[in-house]
Amino acid sequence: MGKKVIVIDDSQTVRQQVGRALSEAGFEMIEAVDGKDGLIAIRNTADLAMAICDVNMPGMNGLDMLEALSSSGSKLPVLMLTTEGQSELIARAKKWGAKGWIVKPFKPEMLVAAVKKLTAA
Amino acid sequence: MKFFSYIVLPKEISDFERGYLRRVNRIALAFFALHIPVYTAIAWFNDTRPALAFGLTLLVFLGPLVASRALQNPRSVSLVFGITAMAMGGLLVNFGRGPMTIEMHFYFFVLLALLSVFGNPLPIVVAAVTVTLHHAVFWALFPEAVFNYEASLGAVALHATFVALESAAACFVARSFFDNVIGLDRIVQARTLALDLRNLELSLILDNVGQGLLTVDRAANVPAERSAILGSWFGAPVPGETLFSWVSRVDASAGAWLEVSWDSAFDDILPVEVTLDQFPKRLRAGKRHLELEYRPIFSGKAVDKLLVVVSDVSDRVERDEAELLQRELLAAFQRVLSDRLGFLDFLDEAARLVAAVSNSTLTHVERLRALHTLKGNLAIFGIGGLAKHCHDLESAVHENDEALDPATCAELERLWQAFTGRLARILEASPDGVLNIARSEYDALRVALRDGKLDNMQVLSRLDRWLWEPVEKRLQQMGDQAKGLAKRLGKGEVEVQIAAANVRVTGKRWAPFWSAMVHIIRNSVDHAFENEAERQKGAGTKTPKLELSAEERDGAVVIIVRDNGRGIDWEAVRSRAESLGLAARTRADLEQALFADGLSTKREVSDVSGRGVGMAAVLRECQALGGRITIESSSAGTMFRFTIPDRPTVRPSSASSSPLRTGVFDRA
Repeated sequence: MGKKVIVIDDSQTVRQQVGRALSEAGFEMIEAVDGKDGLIAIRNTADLAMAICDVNMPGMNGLDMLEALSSSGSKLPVLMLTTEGQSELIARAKKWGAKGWIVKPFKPEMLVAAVKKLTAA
Repeated sequence: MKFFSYIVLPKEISDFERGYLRRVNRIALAFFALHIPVYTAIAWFNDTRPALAFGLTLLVFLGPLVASRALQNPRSVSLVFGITAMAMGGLLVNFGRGPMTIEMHFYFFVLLALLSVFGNPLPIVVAAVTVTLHHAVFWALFPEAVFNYEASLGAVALHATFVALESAAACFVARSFFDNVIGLDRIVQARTLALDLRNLELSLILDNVGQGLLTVDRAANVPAERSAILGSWFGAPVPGETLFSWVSRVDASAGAWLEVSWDSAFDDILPVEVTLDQFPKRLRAGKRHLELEYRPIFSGKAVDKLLVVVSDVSDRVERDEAELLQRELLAAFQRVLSDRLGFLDFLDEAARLVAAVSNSTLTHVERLRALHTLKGNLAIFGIGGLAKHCHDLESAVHENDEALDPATCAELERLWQAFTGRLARILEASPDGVLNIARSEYDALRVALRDGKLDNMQVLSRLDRWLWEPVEKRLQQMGDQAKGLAKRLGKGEVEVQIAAANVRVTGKRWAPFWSAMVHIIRNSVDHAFENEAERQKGAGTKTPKLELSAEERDGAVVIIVRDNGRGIDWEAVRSRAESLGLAARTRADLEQALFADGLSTKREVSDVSGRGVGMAAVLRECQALGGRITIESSSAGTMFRFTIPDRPTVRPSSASSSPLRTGVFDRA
């Protein structure tokens, strides 16, 4: 079985797109619909290789989730999904330890390359 | 003679050599000056006439002293030092005469080697020649001054050999020093010149290429080597300015985005193609559209710099936008030609929807729904650019609720105004200044005139009628609506027959009536015709047919809508009417009830009908025109007949105050 990756996004379409691109590349996908959901899933899943997280979500958004994760001492690599032009949000994501970000709409091959590299370590 | 050119240096003395020799000559002068007290001391200890030693040493020293003052060429001074060194050697041998005479000779060999410090073989050669001559002369004349024992020719030859060997070696060292150290300066100068030339050529390329090229390192300072055109796009950079602040002058958000993403290309956390793909690709610099590309420049495995390529794609963008506008206009033009009325209706609805989106008194959901409908309508009518704008706006709102701010709404309105502005010309292209006349109308008039059937007034009246709106178009619209609706409701294909007989009506007055007629159509299609399920249950296999006709009779226009459906279910109407508290005794009552507000025999309210409001609108508009409605209904079908007076003498405003229900309905 491949490495486990969790995708956290309130849009089902995005979760599907990400899921499809990564499962074709051999990763095992887990989904969560918002930050809180994501935190629970991360805590309960063993051997999680990395997380992909949308910045804008209702409820607990991606940045708050990232903050919570890093405060709890998690070393899980997180890749953010964002839309164009949200520089302040990305600056905050950087501060809270996000490994990188990808702008939506994303190219599948870019996402796969990023995930492969981040889970290679 | 290669030997000669080896020993004798090339004529040109570089500044470096000059400076170097000046220093060395000064050191040498000081060195030999020191000989005076040292030799005097040696002579005094050795008891070999110190006064003479002092005098002779001073004399020999005067040579280089004078030379360094008098001679311009520093190499010549070095030559003098060569001779001086040997002379000093001789003096030392003389005044150091004693038990260590042999050891005193070591001085020659040491100085011969030291002479290479001038970076010039010639002083060494001169010194060797000097010492040889000196030895030859003194050996011939004062042998004991040279050797302290009977020296054989072999011993002399041995000395000479050593001198020769050492001189050769020292020459080699001196010449190498000249070529590689002093000469280095010249090599460096030549290389720098070549480099400057290449930089000049590079600048020429950079400045004459239409793209902006620059290589930027992690610190992101704007480099001096860059295309000149960048200055014209962004303005001249302040020294030490970063690429981000430079870009931000024209496009602040792109600059901010670039700044926040910059490091990620150099840190090797994500693959560099991925990070560079997230960098801003488009910029607005005033009216210009600029496109950005990034290429990594590696140093080993790590990214050292980024090559940024900026291109002006304004032309392409303008062309694409113009093409889009052209297509929109073309679509609009086609619509106007084929269905002017339908298109005008669309414009009205779209204008209302645009206003709704901007209307902050409506709920967020309502505004979004208006936006969504607007997008759909624009797409149907081929207004691609605006449809895409709405689509992008919808996506933005989906991501971020704040997106429907006044500025964005104002933008939407502005774009809408621009569109209708462009349309104004098109709408004029099929203006009301041009009349559409059916051939049959023309023929009818001509025949009537030819046969003398009409007087002038009648001719005039006919001609005036040609200004009015042909009813046929409206009937066709209704027919299209019926067909579309039937498909949507699964009623199958509806056959529509239209017979308009060139009937014309005064345009503006009738517009609300035509709008309301859609409800009659909807009712027919929805109630009268069976859907798929019902058709399978029942035995009815007749094709749904709808007849729409118009005729003129006794100064009135008669519009007939006839379907071959299952007829009105009067029982259902009765029970509904009773539950609404309406009179439901006679047929007339029921007919009135049919058009009442709130009446519907449909159990569920669908998007299409069942609200019970539509028929009331039909009644209202018919009355407003002073008209009457006749209903015939059986299992063979239903017919609605609208008899509306439409002579120019009828004043429209009086129709709205016409008596209410009585007199509107006729029995067939």
